[in-house]
Amino acid sequence: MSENFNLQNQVLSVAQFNQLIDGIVSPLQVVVEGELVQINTRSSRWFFATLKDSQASVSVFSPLNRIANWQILQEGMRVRVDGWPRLYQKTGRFSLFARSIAPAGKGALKKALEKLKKELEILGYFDPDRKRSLPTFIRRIGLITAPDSRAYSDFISILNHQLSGIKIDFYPVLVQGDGAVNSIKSALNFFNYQASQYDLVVLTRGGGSLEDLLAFNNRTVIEAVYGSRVPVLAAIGHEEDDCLVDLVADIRASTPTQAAQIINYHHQETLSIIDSLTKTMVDNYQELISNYQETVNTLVNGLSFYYRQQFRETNYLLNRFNRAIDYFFNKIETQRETLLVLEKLLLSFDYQNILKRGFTITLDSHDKIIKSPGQVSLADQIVTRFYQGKIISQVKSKNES
Amino acid sequence: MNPKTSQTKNLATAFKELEKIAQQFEQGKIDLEQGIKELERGLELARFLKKQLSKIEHKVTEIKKSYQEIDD
Repeated sequence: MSENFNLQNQVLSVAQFNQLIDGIVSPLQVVVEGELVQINTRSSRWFFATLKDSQASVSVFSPLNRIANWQILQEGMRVRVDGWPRLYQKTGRFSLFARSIAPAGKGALKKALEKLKKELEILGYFDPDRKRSLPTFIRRIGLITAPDSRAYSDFISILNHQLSGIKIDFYPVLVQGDGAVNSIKSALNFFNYQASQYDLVVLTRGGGSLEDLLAFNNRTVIEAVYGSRVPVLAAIGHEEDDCLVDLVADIRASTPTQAAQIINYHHQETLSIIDSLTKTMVDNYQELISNYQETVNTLVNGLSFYYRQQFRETNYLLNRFNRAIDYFFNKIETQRETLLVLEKLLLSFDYQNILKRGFTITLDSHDKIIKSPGQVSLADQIVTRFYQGKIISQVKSKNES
Repeated sequence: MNPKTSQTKNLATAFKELEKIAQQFEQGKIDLEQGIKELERGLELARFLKKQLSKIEHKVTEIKKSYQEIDD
């Protein structure tokens, strides 16, 4: 290769030389696998390490904020560095600039995750006490998952088994590969920005290998879930182990389907709590009423008994009174009749004596006693009664004086 | 105040009130006359809450790309 690059005709300065070499190598995109050692993150802005194998080694560096998962990288871990060669022009120092550093092979990855898991556990990220339960009323949720995915359709269709008018704001994301971490972080930030609007965030994806699920074991995503002001329901499809996001989330489900079922079941529970509260109120009030009713009945019965008695006694008195009155009236009547008879008798005795002495009684044609001449007219017929017998005569003349 | 916040607050408040009324009934702290008023209120709250959870379809809205951050 060196035959084509004979520049010995030109005399270069050191700077020019360094610049030349850097210019040649830096466009190369490479992926280098080796053992990562001498990890140095003390500066907090730069990531330095050495990548080596049995035959050679090279310096690796990168800005720390590019290596999002630097915390899972362990001393001695087998990794793949994706990046390009750089020659630092000032010193001629050659290194591999890393765009990303990923654990290579399942074993390395597992070890890295174990390390992170222990660390988070100590920090209390998995503490049951910090986990929030589902809010009583789930009216609006944020859904974070891949668009056109089985996870999405499973979640939505199972949720539709229990219609309750939930508003679902769907934020499509990448769930694996480059950009997944930032994509998911953006989604969580989006819903947290309007945290008061959302009752729940559902973070879910379908199953996959450990490499596929890397984003959900990523420190950045974990931090976003941990710090979410909206409760997070995580359902990251998995095979044997839980993702770290599952462990940090407030509620977790094993599949998108189960996540929807949890929400549906919760909705049912809320409805039945309302029903049971209603029943409590109604039952207790009914009991209250029937207690009062019993009291009233007892009182009314007692009252009625008293009045019935009163009524009976009064009735009895009334009857006696009526009978007394009848008796008195009868008596009066009898006595009146007797009196009349007696009166007649008396009267008859009275004028019999007078008639014996020669006096007479004169009656008109109506048998009425004539006491003065004015009572008759001329030619009227009159009857004169003697002690014995009578004379019938006619008025010839009369004298009123 | 946006509608969503006041709706959640209304639901949570209404639910708490319903719980309180039911508790009062359970503890026998209610008399006959006050009771009918409380029962009416409680039933009204229960009706309101159940209506909120009634069989209306879910509504999915996709967040448009313009709101999303752009990846590196």
